[in-house]
Amino acid sequence: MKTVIRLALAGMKKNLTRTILTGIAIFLTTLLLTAIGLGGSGMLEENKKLSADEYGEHYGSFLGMTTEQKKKAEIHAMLYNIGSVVNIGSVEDNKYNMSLQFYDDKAVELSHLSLQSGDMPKNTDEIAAPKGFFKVLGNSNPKIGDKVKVPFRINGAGEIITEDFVICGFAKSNEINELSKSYLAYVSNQFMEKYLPDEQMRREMMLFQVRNEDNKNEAQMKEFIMSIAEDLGLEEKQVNVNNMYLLYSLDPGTEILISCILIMIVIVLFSIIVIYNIFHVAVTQRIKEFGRLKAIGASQRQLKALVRMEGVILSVITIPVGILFGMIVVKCFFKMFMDINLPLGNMAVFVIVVLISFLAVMISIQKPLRTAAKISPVEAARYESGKKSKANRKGKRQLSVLTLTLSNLAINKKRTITTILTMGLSCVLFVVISNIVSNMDSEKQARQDIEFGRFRIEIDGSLNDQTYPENNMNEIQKKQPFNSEFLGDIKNIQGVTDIRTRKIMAVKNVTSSSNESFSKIAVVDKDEFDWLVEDRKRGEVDYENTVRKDGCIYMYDYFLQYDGYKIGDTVKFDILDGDRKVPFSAEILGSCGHSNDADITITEDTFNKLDIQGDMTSVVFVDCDKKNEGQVLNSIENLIEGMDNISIKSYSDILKINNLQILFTKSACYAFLVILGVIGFMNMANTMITSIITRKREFGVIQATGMSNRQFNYMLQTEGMIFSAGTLFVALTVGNLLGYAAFCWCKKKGWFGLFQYELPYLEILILIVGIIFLQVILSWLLSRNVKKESIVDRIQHDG
Amino acid sequence: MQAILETKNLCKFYGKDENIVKAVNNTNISVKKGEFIAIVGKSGSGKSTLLHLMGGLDYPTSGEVIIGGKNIFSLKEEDLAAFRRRKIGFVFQAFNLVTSINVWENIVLPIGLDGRKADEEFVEDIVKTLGLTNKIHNMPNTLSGGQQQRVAIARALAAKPDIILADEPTGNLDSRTSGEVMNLLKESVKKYGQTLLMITHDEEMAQMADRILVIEDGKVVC
Repeated sequence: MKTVIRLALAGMKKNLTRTILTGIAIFLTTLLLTAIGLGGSGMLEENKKLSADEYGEHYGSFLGMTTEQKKKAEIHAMLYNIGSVVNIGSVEDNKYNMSLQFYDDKAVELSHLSLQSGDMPKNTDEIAAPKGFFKVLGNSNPKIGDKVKVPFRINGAGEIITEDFVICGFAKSNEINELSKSYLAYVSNQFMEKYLPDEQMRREMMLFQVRNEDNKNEAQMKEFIMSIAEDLGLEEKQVNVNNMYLLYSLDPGTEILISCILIMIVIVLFSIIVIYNIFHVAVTQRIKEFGRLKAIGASQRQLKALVRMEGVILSVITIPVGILFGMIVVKCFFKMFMDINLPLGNMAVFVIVVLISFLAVMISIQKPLRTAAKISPVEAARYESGKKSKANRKGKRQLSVLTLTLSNLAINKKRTITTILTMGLSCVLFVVISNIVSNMDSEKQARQDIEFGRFRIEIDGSLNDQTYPENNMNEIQKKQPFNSEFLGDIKNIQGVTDIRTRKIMAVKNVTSSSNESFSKIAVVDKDEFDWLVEDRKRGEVDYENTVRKDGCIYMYDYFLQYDGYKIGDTVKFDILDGDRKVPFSAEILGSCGHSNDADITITEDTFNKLDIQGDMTSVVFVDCDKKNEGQVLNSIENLIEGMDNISIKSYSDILKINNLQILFTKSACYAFLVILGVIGFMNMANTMITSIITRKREFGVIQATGMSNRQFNYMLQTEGMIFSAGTLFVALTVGNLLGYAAFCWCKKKGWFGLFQYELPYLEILILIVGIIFLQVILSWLLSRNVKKESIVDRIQHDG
Repeated sequence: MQAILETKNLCKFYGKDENIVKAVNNTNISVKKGEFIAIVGKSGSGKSTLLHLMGGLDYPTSGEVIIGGKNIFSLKEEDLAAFRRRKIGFVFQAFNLVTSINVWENIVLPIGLDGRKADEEFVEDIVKTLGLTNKIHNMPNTLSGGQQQRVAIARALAAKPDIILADEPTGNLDSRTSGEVMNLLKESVKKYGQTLLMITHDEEMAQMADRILVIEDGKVVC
């Protein structure tokens, strides 16, 4: 064994350049695998964590249970981590909707309830809530320890009780609290015992988790929770499933997982080809040496062990370094672009990466290993490196440097083609991905939200809020917020160049009587209609036809089938015109890929035929010059201040967010590609280096025969250029074809920002320049390296 | 007769101080046009180095090689390469053919490098003289040693050089083939009016020469 290690080390040292190349290839492979493994698993964890923070970690909750049902639930074999939330009372306020609740320890844990400062209440008079809660109650600068008077009604009924509380902690508050004008305050168990001693009277919500979660997906889990509820004698409406959390925690993010695995497979296949190539060439070059070893008594097994040992030594050195750098790269990347502190402690990822990388090396050296073992000592002694299969060559009557160069590539056809293909493959990936990424259009994506102008002012209403009906769209429309006076005011704002309005109607879906659902119908004129159907997915639609048939366009193509419709179906609605209900039905003539904030679109002409009395104007688009944007925004905000349920979006803001998102995707994709490109380049470097080292003597002879250094440089550069040209040819033809197909697929899948295809000129240019640059440098370095030795030395060079 | 090639105080030293190896030490040779000179000497006596210097393959430590009245080491690299392909033909012990091109292409290689068109009639004649006519499309590795060396000789002759420098051209061949190759070489040189300097170990071969130079420790001793 010692001898084998020593021989392996000596061999690696003798071919240092190649050893380094192989090492770098393994290093980069490992780096990529680590980065992708950690990045993927980190993203999954992050999603899970975010959803847990947002929605709580409980799988579901049961409401309004009887004491008996509660007892049964507590001992149910499949339920664990049971927590309880009790709504004790509502706080009296005209404007705000605030309540007092008790969370037991488990409920605090499950719902990720964490205080910004202070502690959860323990004594009867202690209270914790967001700062905003205390502000509503009149304390504009609340501090822990402050006393506060809270008027409340137990279970929202009965007489108002006012209690003195001491603030013991502040809960996190967010904008939504203030926007929805609702706050939650937390009180102690003792407080609950004092005012609601009777358990039967408590409006309790039981949070829980379910055992055996690992072998269920989201839908199965829902079903399972329902069956438990049935066991406990609960009705369906008493069950609340925490859908969002289940979605993230039980579904292992199939999409992320599959993409990661696919990328990993590509990397592994790719590096196997490269490492195989390098080892293969190394072995054929050392045939004589292996033959000598065999002649002095080395067994097949020992020769195999020798080659394998080189692979092992390389892996032992480069894999850990690759993992380390992978960790650093992915950590920095996530920190920089997503501000996520990626956890790096995922042992499973490391084990998998080490295994895959090592396996890749071992697979790569299988064939070279057998070649080395099979060598017959007699043949090996006579072996001329670069065994030629062809006995004849038609050749040319006149020879030029170019013919000479081409002849060498032709005689090593297999190697030339493999190199061009591997190089090409890495570049194909580059071209495919840039076909998608470069076509991500943040402006057009932003235009999906704000179709015209620079601002969108809209009614921000619900469709079917029974508790607060005043928030419903039809109720808001009764107040006519976007009346002509308002529109006039907007038009008069200095800098505003144009405004457009859109009517949106809240409708009740009466197509099927079984389930009551509400949606929105948008009314568009011909311009808007034509603009919308540019993205048409199904059906044959034009404005005139739609008017003639009084038909409609379904806006969420993606959900068309999901919603149970097909083109040609007739949908029936009751339009909610203030307090009136106007029946309406229309045939679905087509569908579009994006939403204009409504589910269905009809034409202005069809709308005019309807008996609508109210003002349905629900969206106002405002355009202005970019330079006046800030000032116009201020004026609009002043105008809508004090108007309820009106919101404004700015095109620039959305664009900024989109750009950030695209930047992240782009950087991740290109970083991946650059590393893949480098591995591919290693292959080209290896081929060129090998082809030059093996021909050192031949070059000596050619130069002795009278080739000048300039001609020699020209020969090497031409050789490199042919590699580059072949690579680029493969990359640009195959890459763009596949890229276009990939673009269409992603667009169909509704990927972010993909609308119109355009050839990624800039990326292609960068690719061409990059490859030619690297190749010229490589050829130059190699020719310099060869010329360092004198012609005489080269002629005497031994194989 | 005028000297076609002269060396003046030619020295090539390797190493430094005590380890200095004087491969070629202050050598002065004069070769006349059309002469056939055999260079003999023990292994390591510096004969190959001398030949390399005369062909401009290596640079001397000091001294000059004058061909056609000009010191070849005063030429720029580019010109020296051109000089080699026009004026000098090399034949090496290891046949040193370019493996990726066929026999014909190997033969016209120096002419091609010069950017000229090969005089096909002339090359055909050489090929015929050397008995390679039906081998011109063969790849070098399909030929026997003798055949390969004949190709190397044809290559050396093809550019119509003034001087042929041969370094043990028969060193790798069996005696019968050696004889054949040697005769061909000598005949061709005579036919095309060239000057031949040949290193050899073989006493018999040396005897075929007009003149024998014996080298010992880098010096011409007779």
